[in-house]
Amino acid sequence: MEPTLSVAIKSMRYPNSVGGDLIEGLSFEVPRQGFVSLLGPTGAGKTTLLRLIAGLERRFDGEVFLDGKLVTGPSRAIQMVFQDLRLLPWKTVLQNIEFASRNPRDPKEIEQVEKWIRIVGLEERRHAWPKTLSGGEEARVAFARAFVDQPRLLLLDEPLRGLDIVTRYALQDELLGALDACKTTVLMVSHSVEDALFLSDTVHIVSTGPMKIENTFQVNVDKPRRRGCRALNDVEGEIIRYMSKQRGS
Amino acid sequence: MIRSARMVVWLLPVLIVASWEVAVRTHFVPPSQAATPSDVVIRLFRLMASGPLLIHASYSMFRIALGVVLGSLIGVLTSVLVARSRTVNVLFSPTVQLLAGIPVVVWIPFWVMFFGTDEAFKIAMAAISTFFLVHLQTLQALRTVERDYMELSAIYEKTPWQRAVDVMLPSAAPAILMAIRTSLIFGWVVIFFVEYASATQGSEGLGWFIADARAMGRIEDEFAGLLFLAVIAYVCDKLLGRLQRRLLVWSDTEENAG
Repeated sequence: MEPTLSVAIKSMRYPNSVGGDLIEGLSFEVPRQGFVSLLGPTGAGKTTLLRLIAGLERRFDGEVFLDGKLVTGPSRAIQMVFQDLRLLPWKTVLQNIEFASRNPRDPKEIEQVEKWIRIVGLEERRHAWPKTLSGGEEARVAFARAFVDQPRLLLLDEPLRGLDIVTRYALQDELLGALDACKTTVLMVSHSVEDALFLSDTVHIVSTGPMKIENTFQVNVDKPRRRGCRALNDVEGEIIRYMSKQRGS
Repeated sequence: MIRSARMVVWLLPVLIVASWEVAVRTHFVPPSQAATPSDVVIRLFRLMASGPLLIHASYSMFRIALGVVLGSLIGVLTSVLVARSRTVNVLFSPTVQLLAGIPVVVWIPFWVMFFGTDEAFKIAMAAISTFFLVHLQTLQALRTVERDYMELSAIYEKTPWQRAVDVMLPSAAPAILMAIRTSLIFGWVVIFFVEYASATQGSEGLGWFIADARAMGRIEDEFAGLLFLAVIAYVCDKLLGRLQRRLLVWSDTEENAG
């Protein structure tokens, strides 16, 4: 399958950093409508990598191509769900999702916003302020905002971090449902093996200092997936054994 | 416990008013220089009932309202331009910062030169004192708008206008509203001073009324005017505080706004 996203980074370091490169010689691809996860420890540079792919960070030596075009800056084609979700506190749930619309008065776009409010189950909370939302509701608003403009690439920066297990499972299911409706390409970074396995087709294990891909696991299990099924457990076992071995060595 | 605490709050004001009453009645303070609080309150109600005080107050309120609105609008607009454009910043900011440090009374001869001594002059004095406060506070807030929100605007390809209206101004709204509220408090001082100082040129406004009463030896009228000015300033501040809480209902700190 032709890759949607192609990343080739020779080196990246912050101007005033004391240590070496944060990322060095990292390259990978994400196929069209694929879901790829980068799994690694906190501080590995995963968020920086996503910012760089989104065009928010330009101080690096390398290239990022989306659908064969060089990414030169932030654009609607690449949406990102940030770790802190970044809801605008002065906008209601509805207004936060509308923020992604090109023209919030266009009937087609209104319909699209309404569709995503329904998908994430926030019809009753449409006029609520972000400060009154639970962690799960906040994540749902951020997802809806990212999906509403139908991006070609969706970047997820540990979007389920800090949520309780019930909310986490619910959001995993909703995210897969949303992806089924939106058919977009996804790159997620996470340190949760469970999230990465349940959602992804491919899981890259990354290491720190400098960040590089150490190993790749394919998750050949059809979606929608059932938690605890044998095939998922087998891959999870492999990944955990590999990561434990790496930590020990 | 709460009830007794509430009563303690009133202890000091009651003590001050009582001391004032006693000091005037016992001639500790010469009656030609002060009136008793009870006489002042009675006079205040009479003046309100007969009308002149309300007319004078409406002149002052009109001047201060227009001055604060004009000063705020220009202050916010220029701060957005300075925050968005390096050229405007270089052209504008050094001069504004230099002038902001100058006491507001220094503007009097310049404003008289441009506007004469009538309404426009008085409104311009309230506007200039508001402008510096609102401009500098808003600019500071706009410059600290979180990079996160600006990145989000970049991803959604928002135009400079959309960024200003949808992101920068709402983000700076708590600072802008606080600056306007402070300007209103300071504006009363400015308007009172201008009306008082230019009493020979005018014949209306609370400042003029108080100056005229003092000049004519109407001590009760003078104190009644001052008391009325204090009450209006307090009520205006409380109303603006309510508006501030209403507009910042989304903010985590809105309960601290009033």
